[in-house]
Parts: sequence; C-alpha cells; structure tokens
Amino acid sequence: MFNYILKYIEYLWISINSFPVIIRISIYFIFFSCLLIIFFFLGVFLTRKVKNKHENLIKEIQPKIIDFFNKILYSDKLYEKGSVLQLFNERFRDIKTKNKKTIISSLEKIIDDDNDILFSKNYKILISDLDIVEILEKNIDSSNNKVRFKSIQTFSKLNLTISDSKILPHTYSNKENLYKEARSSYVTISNNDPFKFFDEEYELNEWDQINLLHQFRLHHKDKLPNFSKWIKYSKNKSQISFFIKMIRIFKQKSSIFSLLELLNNDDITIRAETIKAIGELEYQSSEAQLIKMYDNEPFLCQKEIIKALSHFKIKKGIPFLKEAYFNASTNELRKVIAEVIFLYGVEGKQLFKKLKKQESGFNLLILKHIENPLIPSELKNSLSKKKYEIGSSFSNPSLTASI
Amino acid sequence: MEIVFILFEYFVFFYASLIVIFYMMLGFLSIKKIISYKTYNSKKDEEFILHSPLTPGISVVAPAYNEEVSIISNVHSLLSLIYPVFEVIIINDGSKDKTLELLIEEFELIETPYAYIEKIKTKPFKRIFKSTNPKYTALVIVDKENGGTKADASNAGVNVAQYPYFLCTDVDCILNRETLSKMIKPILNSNTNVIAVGAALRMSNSCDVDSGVIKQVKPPRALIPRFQEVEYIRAYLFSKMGWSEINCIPNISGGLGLFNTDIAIKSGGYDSESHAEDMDLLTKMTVFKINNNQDYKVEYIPISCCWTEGPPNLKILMNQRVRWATGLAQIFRVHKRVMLNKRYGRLGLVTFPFAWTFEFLAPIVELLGVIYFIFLIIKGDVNWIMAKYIFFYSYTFSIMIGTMAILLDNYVEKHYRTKYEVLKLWFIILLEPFIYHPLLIFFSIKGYFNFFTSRKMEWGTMTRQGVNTKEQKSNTNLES
Repeated sequence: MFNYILKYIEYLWISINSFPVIIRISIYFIFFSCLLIIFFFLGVFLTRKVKNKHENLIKEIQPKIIDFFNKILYSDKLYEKGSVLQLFNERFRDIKTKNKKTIISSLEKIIDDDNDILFSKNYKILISDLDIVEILEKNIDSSNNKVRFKSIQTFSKLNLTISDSKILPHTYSNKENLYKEARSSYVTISNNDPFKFFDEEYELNEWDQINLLHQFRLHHKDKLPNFSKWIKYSKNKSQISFFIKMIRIFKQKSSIFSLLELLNNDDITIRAETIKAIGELEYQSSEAQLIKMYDNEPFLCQKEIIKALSHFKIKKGIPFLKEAYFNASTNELRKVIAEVIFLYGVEGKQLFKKLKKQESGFNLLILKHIENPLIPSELKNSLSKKKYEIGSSFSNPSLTASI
Repeated sequence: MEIVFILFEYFVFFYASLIVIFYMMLGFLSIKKIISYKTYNSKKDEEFILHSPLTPGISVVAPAYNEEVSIISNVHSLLSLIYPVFEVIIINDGSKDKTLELLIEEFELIETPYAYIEKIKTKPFKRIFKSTNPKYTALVIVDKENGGTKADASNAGVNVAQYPYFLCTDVDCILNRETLSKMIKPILNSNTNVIAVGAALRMSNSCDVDSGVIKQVKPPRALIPRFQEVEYIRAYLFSKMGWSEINCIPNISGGLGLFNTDIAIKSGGYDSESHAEDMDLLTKMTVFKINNNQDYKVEYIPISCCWTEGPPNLKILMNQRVRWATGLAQIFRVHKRVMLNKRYGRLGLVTFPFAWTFEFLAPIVELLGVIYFIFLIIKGDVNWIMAKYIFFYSYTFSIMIGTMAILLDNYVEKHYRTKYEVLKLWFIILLEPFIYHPLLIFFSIKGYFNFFTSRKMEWGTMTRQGVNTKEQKSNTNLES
C-alpha cells in the first residue's frame, strides 16, 4: 500500500514536471491554497470552541465567584489570613488552578460596579489568600503581549502595588502601547515614586491623557502633586498641555502664576489651553491681560478669551465684548461672543436686548439662535452645570441622548 | 495575430498572479493589524472614554431621502448610542414622502431660528427643527432642498455639526450602541493626526432587531444579501484592515465613517457631483494634509459597528453597484493629478495605482478574458486539462481568501450563534465565483459605460423591507 502511494506521488511529480511552467505554478499554488483552506477552516471552529468555553465560564462560574467575593467584601466580620482561601477551596474545589483568569475578572467586575469595595476591610486578605499579586506578577513576565498588557491594567484596576523591578522594564518596552500603558498604570501601582515619569519627556496623546486622568481620579484624588512644577520644566508640548488640563480639572488655584507665564508661549494650542484654564479657575485679575491680548491672537485663542470672560463676569468685560462683537471677523466668532454676552449676568442680558433691537438679517438670526433654549451648547452646559468638577460623581448620568 | 493571443494569455495569467500576490500580502498585514487591535484594546477603554471630561464630542450626520418606512425606528436607534457628548443630525433632503411629517410628529419638533453658516456649499437650506421634548435635546433636523445626491445632504449636516468629529452614516443603518467610543479610540490613541476612522459593516437582513438594537446576528436568508455578507466581511477584515496597517486606505465606507470636521470642511466637504463621495472625501482630506506638509493617518477598526439592509434583489443590487462603478471611474478623472505623483506619497504611488489596476481594470480584464475564452471554445483551441488547472488556481484562491476572512471574523467577535450559520456562510464562498462575481463584473462594466457616455445618476433609492423586529416576529407567529 505504502509503495503504491509512493509510486503514485512519483507519477504525479513526473506528470506535473512535464507541464508548461505556468501550469506547474498553478498546480503548486492549488496545493498551497488547499492546505490553507483546511487550516483556516479548522481555525474557525477551534476559535469558536475556545470562545464558547470562555462564554460558558463567564455565564456559569463567574456569577458564583462574584457572589462569594461579595459576601466576603461586604461582610462586617474581619476574616483571618488563610480563611478566605479555605472557604474558596471548600466552595469551588479545584477552580483555582484551572480558572485563575475567571477569579481575577470576577474581582474586576465587582470593582467596576462599586469602586469603594477597594477599601473593604477584607479586600487585602482576599487578595493575599488567593495569590492575586503572584498570579499577576507571573503574567506580567509572560511572553504574550496581550497577557502582559492586561495584567498591567489589572494591577492598576485592583489598586495593587508592585516593585519597580517588575514594572520598570515594561515602561521602557519597544512596544509603544505597552510602555504607555505601563507608564500610565505606574501612577497607581508603583510603591516608590508614582509620578517619576513626568520628569521624563515623552509624547502624551489624548488617550494617554484620558488614561492618566482616570488613574488620578481613581487613586490619587486627595494626594495629587502640584502640576505647575512640570509645566515649568517640560519641553514637550503634549505634556505641558496635559498638565494645564489637570490644573484646570483639579482646580489647582495655586498654580495660577505658572499659567500666567504660559500666556506668552509660542504654541497656539498651549496658549488656548492656558486661557481656558485661567477662565475656569476664575482668576479675574487676568481679565485686563486677556483683553489686551485679544486683537493679536488667532481664532482659537480669541474664542477661549471670550469664553474665559464668561467665567469672570465682571462689569469691565461688557464694553470689551460689545466692541469685539461688532469687530468680529467671522460669523462663528460673532456667535461665540453673542453667546457669552447672553450668559454674562444682568449686564450681559441688557446688552443682548439692545443688540436684538439694533441688529437685522443674519446677525439678528445669530442672536435668536443663541437665546433659543432648545439649542444646547458647550458653553451653556459648562456655565449652568459646572459639570465634571472634582468631587462630583465620576459617571455622567446622561450617556445616551435620549435620557 | 497568433502572437497577440499568446501575449494576452500571458498577460491575464500574470495579472491574476499579481492580484494573488498582493492579496496575500494584504492578508498578512490584516492579520497583523487585527492581532494588534485585539491585544491593545479592551472593554475597559470604553469605560474610560465614557466617563472622561477630556472625551471630544461627536456629531452623527445621517441624510434621509424618502425613508418614511424606517425613519422613526432608525432615529430612535441613533439617539440610543452610548457616548457622553454627541448630537444626531438628520438631513431631510427634500423627501417627497412623509419622512419629515413623521419626524415632526414623533419627536415633537418645532421650526426654530438657527444661524446656519454655510461652510460647505449645498443646495438651499430651508430650516431647522428641534424637539420640545427634553428627551430629544440631541436631535437636530435639517430640512433642505433636494440636492440629488447623498453628498449634498451630508454637507448640510457637516455645516450644522458643532463637534470636532462627525460620524457619517445612512439613516437606515443600525449602529452598535458603543460605535462612537470604539471609533474614537484610534483618533485618541495616536501621536499622528488621524483624519478618519472606519469600521466593519454587515447585512442587517435576517438579524433580530429590538428597539433599534441588533439582538441576534444571523446570516441573511436570501441569497443576494448573503453573498454581500461574505463580500463585506472580506472587504473589511481582509482588505481594509491590511491597507490600514500601512496607512494606504483608499476609502472609508459611506455607511459608517468618523471624520475630523475641521479637515473635512477645509478640504471642501463631500463632492455633490460624485457618486463615490466617500472615496472622494477621503482623497481630498488626504491631499489637503499632504499639500500642507502635515502628517496624517486613516484608521480602520475590525469591529462590526454597523448593520445595513443589503439590496434584496438583483435590480436594486444593480442600481447600487452601477453607481459605485460610475463613482470609481469618476474618482480617477477628478483626482488624475494624484495618480503616480510622488508628491502624494503612498496615496499617489500605492493606493491610487492599486485601485486603478486591480479594482477599476479588473472587470474589464475579466470580461476580455471571458470573450477570449468563448472565442477559443468556438475555434476548438481549448486545452481542457490545462484550463482545468488554471480555473482551480483562481477558484481555490478565492475560497482560501473567503475562509480566512471568516476565520478573522470569528477571531474578532463570535457573531453567529451556531456552527451551522457559519457553514451557511462558508458554502456561499463556493458559489460566489459562479453567480455573484459575474454579476458584479456586468454591473461594473455598465457603470463604466454610463460614466463614459455621461448618463445622469441620482440618489440610490432602495426599497426597504425592514428588519426582523420583535413586533414582526409576533405577527408572524400569530399568522402561522
């Protein structure tokens, strides 16, 4: 039988070699394609099998683990070292060795639902009894990027600390996504100097900024450093811009003098960001300086100066706004100025009424647009609600437009 | 004459082989891109985006023309998107049916003074409607004169958009509720300015839909939409993800694309005369960045974010594909200075030449091949044994690509509940080269003919059949 197969292959080989080159290439390619088709076809069903298994774990085991953890974490009783592990083994027997991933994801889910659980008196015992740190430290050294990336994220989510020797190599990884995540998470998980990377210059894109802000709000709300020191020494525009935003969001009024220095910065976005921060910090003494700057600034900064004045709401601003309104070079700028006038307290409302009587055509339409309560705007929202202030809830209740 | 025939035979073989080589390279790139996406993106990211004050706002722009059958449920679906700062702009492009009346009634709309600034030229704008019901604060209805194309209507929407990014979609599309947070992520997570982001589209035919949300994804029952399902999976997960890896994406689908509002306006917006307005806009935005010596990136994500109703019959499919082919031909005429121009870098030296050689020319080469094959049969010159090998060469390749696309689809997300549904889709790959592909060639040739004979084309109207809603299902049960 074996000889017969060998002879048949030999016959095929001789026949194929007698064909023209093009046909030979085609035949080889047909074999190649057939092999890949089989490989991909099996891959489809294997992938589905793995996913089904994972889905079943999530569906069947995770609720039970969550229920078990909740009972411990919300309990008034203080558990002793080793008791959580004992209870876990009694209830789930061999689950620990097989499904470490499920244990960790269950814990993450509990924290997603209630971040305050991190301060439960039994949280540390649960972490230590189930060897969560050891599991994650092992994962962090995995050769699989996804496992490494995920375990760094989990460290930060579970508010766990890790020695620098474990995390630092990843903060200098040649995989950009990995090193950025490691640096953002470092703010939470380092037990040494969490803000050390702010002394180094590296690009912070918008996602890094969102990620870092999240870490600050979650883990450093009451012990944030003063960001102005990095504003002074950093040369990287994205970093400076980020620190200005942090000063604005965390209302660090003591940093105002560093911000004032940035009003002369060469970069437009940094200047615009600075003006916005000064406005939201309500540093009224800067009004004269901002008004003086206005005529020589590009559109972006002019818009921010106008918006900043809406936060100050002092009488002196009204004549300036009136003049700026009439001299506005574009309808878009005029719209912003008109909106600030409308929102500028009693004096602003009076001027707005006067303008309405005076204006006609498209300018009158702008004014009607502004006062229309059905048309929302960023400025109206920020002035009326002062949303996202520190101390308020993290979650924005109106995530869907229909609520 | 004999030498011409031999040369033609060699040309066709090497042309086909080049396609095979390029597609294998694309396959490799798309696998790399998809693995990278799956490695560094998670559900947690969306949570961060949803709760951050640094998240930028997005305007959802959806033009509507004679959409009375589905407009209400579709607008409800758009309003149910989950994102912290967004608005939904519906442009009624002079509909002749009750589209506007239904909207006014359902969403309690009133005409409102609105300072409409025409940053991009469109057919005359008439008025703006806003809802008096606080539930629908994010809804803006733009009423304008019919401009004849989707592009003109989309431009009016962009003029009204107040946020730095706009998502252009069709009003009949059903979006994944997390679409905005998923699509904004590549923009946020880039050190280079990302001017546009696309995501995968699929067929909504036969899917179970409840209150404008896809509850269960199913392969379409009808043959034509099922062919399209396979075609879309292959186009998005195989081709566009590959191009995305080397920043050479030729277009962001008109059904779903997130764009930088400022760059889109500065580039002149959608071309109202274009029938491939999606490719035209992306080309213009790219050219704008290159002309201003600015770095840019165009990204694709492999997640299926949008379900659209595919043409249920041949007539509607023909209208759609003829329009696309006309649009493709139009692009090469309008942007001819880009082709092989090294000033335009990858766009001029990779994207355009590839699209021209392997997308625009392919139907013509295939048609010539078929004509030549018939000629050889008549002459009795066909070596059937060799022809068999040549046929299997391209046939097995097409099956291999299709199977790989289905594998990638399952790797990214497990949409279909049963193995049987996956097999149903896979069998379509076996039939595609005999039924669907020849039809597409015919429609493309017809489109080119229309373009070169300057025939006028308008809004691609489509008879909506609707999707499987809960109500429909219960009615069907009662009837049965």
